[in-house]
Amino acid sequence: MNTLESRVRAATKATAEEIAPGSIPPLSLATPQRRRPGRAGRGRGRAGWPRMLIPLAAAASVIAVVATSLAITGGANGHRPAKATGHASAMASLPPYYVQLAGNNPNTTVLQPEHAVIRATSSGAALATITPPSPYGTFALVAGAGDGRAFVLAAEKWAVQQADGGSSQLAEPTKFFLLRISPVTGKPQLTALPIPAEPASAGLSGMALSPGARRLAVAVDGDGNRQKIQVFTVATGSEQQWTWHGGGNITNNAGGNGQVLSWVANQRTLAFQVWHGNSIEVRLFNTASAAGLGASTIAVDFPGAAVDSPRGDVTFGGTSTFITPDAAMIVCATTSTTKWSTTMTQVGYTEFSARTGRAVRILDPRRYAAKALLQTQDVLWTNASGSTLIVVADVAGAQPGKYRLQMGAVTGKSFTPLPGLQTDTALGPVHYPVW
Amino acid sequence: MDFRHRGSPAALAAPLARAVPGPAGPAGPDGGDAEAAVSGLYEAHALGLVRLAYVMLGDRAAAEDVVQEAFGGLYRRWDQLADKGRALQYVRSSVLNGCRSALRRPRHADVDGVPQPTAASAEAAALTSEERREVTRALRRLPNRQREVLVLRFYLDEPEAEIARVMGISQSTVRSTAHRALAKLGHLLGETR
Repeated sequence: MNTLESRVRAATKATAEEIAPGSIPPLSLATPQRRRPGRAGRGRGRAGWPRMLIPLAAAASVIAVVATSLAITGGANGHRPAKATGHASAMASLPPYYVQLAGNNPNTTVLQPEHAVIRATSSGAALATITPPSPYGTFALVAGAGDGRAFVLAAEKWAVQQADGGSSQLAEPTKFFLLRISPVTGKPQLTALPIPAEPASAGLSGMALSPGARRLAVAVDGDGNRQKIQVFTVATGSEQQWTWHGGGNITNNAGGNGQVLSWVANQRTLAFQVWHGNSIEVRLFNTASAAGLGASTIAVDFPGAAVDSPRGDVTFGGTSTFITPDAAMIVCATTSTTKWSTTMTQVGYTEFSARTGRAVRILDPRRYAAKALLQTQDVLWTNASGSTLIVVADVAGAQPGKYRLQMGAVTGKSFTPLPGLQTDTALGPVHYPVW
Repeated sequence: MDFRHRGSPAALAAPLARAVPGPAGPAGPDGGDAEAAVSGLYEAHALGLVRLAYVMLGDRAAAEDVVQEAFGGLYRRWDQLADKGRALQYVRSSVLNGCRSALRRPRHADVDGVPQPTAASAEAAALTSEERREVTRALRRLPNRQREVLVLRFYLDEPEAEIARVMGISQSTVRSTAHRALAKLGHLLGETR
């Protein structure tokens, strides 16, 4: 009688009615953003898309090496060193650069083309901007090798459907580019990888670049409704792929944002996250074996709850998980409520043994005098052993209804904020940096 | 203009796409005609669009931002619209794009629940608040594309062909995505389908 469809219909309509008539703020048309005249569509003309700092020419060759006009200066190659403080010592162990996707208008939540910005970890200074080579119009995803010098960017064409006078972005085939920052010259170089473009019907739900940038793993959700993991050899573009028949989805609770896949330094073992709706697993898969994904083993599972998945005394909200490159630990942001009370939450970054699944340690544990919003915390990077992490922390100071997110380095119980990586947000737009 | 259905999902549906008259005479972003037309459109449809964005995002402030941005974009491009009668479709597409953009960013769990409605239709009242909370939470835990399909299908009551057009996917993909989304939702809600 009360079918799921009717429950969805009723729930969405009831939710909508929380917005009461007469409560909508008036329209503000002040200071309209001037756009340069140009062709209506995106593409070569790209009206309103200012010239980027770095012209990237399309090349006809299979591998197009594109030189940038901006050299990265400083950082590992001469950045002004920080004072000899705890901050400086924390910075010294971090990768020198990170990449963050950004649109031209940081204040809009409307879909817009995005470029990649290279920043120094130690200062947050923007060092170079990379635009997608023509005919690609936007970067959609970025993954890092963890060393701060090698990244893969997934580019899309930014085709805009103009039917009926409206516009919507079409899912164009995705093309992968390797971004390397030379340790010698400090210059970034973008190279089109010899990997076939992902078809339009494939939705990428995760991407991970192995340490050393030798292998790229991609989780695909949506191609004929078969989920699969593809692994490409970066140098040659050769591909392996496996279809997942184990139920659930290879994704996370953030709709695929964050880390769903991660590599061990041996270039063979891949960790992937499977979300079953009421449980979450982190599985390990030997990509060198002849067996399929069904032969993967569960390293850590978070069973049994529809909203968040408790495991022992910690609860995981289903965002990012990493396996440490030494294969010892699975790392994720957690909360703990059972230890304290329903009004006191401990938030931290828990490391589970990848061998036994047991929680080994919690880094940067903090207590909150309220029930914390779990997904505001996340893990963004781990060093080889998990002794140092880069994380997103929910810190105090935001206005009601917003969150103050501060990214920083965590070692033991110490949290060192990273310069330029604090943002107050209600929901977005926030693009986490990638190392 | 018929305001009786202002804010209702049906007011945003495709058949009303031509219900918005264009301004008389030429108008540009600096013209009063554009401002009047866009303001009139906003008055008539902002509530429904904010509600749509709110269902998609679960965040009222973000929903209002998305709708403001969409109308701002409509105003700036008013003189480029070939068919002013399709302005509502244009702005609705912009709102959905805005939601997709917001959802591509890391989002924050609505752990502490869903506020109670200030007013409820008979249909909405068929669910208890606790049931609605569960369904809404589960809906927000779906991957973005699955959630969008369900919202377009069951909130806006859009036909498959329109969902396919709006999302830029095939009708068969709409069907399969909806099927998977409902299956997953059933899992989340502990149902056996």
